[in-house]
Amino acid sequence: MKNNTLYIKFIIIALFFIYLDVNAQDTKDFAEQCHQKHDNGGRFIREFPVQHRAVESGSPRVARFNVVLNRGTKYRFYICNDESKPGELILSLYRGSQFLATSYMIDNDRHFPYIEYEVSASGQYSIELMFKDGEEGRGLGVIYSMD
Amino acid sequence: MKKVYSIVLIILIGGFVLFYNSCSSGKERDDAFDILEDTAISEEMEFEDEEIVGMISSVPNPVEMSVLLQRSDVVFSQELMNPVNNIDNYNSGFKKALNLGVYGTNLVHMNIYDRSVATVRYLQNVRNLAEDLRIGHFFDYETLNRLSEQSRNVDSVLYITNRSFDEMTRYLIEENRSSLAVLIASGTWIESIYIATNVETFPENKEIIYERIGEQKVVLDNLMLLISNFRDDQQFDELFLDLMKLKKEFDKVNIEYIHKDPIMKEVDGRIVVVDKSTSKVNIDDEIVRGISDKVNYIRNKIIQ
Repeated sequence: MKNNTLYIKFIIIALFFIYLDVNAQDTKDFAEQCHQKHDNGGRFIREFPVQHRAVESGSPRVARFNVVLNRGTKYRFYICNDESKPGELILSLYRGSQFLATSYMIDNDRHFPYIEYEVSASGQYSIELMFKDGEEGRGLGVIYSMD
Repeated sequence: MKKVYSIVLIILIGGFVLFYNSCSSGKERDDAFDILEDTAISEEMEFEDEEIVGMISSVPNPVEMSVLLQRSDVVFSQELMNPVNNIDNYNSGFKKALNLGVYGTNLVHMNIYDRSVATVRYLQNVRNLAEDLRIGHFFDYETLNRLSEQSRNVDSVLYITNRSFDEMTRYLIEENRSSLAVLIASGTWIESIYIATNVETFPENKEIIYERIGEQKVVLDNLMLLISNFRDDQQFDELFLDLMKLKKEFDKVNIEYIHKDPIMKEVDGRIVVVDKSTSKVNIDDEIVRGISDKVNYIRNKIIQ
């Protein structure tokens, strides 16, 4: 009986570790697919994975990342969505508190695959990523430089 | 007897599962976690994990600086790279993490300059340090080694390298080992500035290189904020104080901004931002020399 309990405990632990490994591989595959989809001759700079649960009430959760962008460089900010989840990723770009652009036009309910920005003032910018209406989602924001 | 057999079997299978998941090469751990694990445990986080992820992303990966140098016709200098044999000196987690960043930057820089065959030992160093820090499974050594030997596909090498470092960073933060992530980012950044301030410039390329060096003022502020989180540890405190001296030099850089309202418009199915804002970096030879002196001091302390 004691042996059976030990075996069950072991199986649970093993399954947990296998789950972690499969999950990590799945995340990697998702990022690879995203990169292949947007392979445009640009140079990969950085990626920002986000995974959010559905928000029951209140404002959608926002992930914020700082980036330093260089004057004279044209950047593209791409978005990839995990189609198996309902959430649609929205990327917004800010310089300090000044809003610059978003990938989602609320007026006509349109999502755009990327934002292009030729930086004219070097400095710190921030990227905000959230899922429309706070739905559950998994996605990736990716920056490429196009010089 | 049966019970003993069961326990041994469980330990063996459990060990296999752990080994399988870690995907490490079996190189034995040494004292990589001496101080840092204690630091991680005693961290009274001033920043949440998400905030650290958000701030650490402001530390640029070394690609952009190296690309700028290469495009500005700066000649590659092997002497500026951290000698491969120095790895034997790195016995603490603190040193390993910093020099993982240093060697990672060297690797990127050498690839951009198409020194791909010579990178093999740097690749090994990056792998070894990453494994010592238990993050080796994020580093696709086999693919990178194959691409380097074939001396082609530099973009793929850079993509894999950058992504590996990003993944390591995120993992370390998730695992409550953000102190290591901060050190890797610090090593990366310091090495990048070290190279940029020590290359030979010409009148034609000096201005653009100086401008990029001056722009790093913002990055240093962020880095110091991150390091300040771990100043309870003496080594972090020492690094912070060294960077404070560097900051005094960077404070001489003056960046002027003229902000204008940007316009966001749709062009052929994408969003394009049209921005007439400008920035001007005021920096001269003397300031760069001051920055270079301090960076050389810090970098040489790191790689010793």
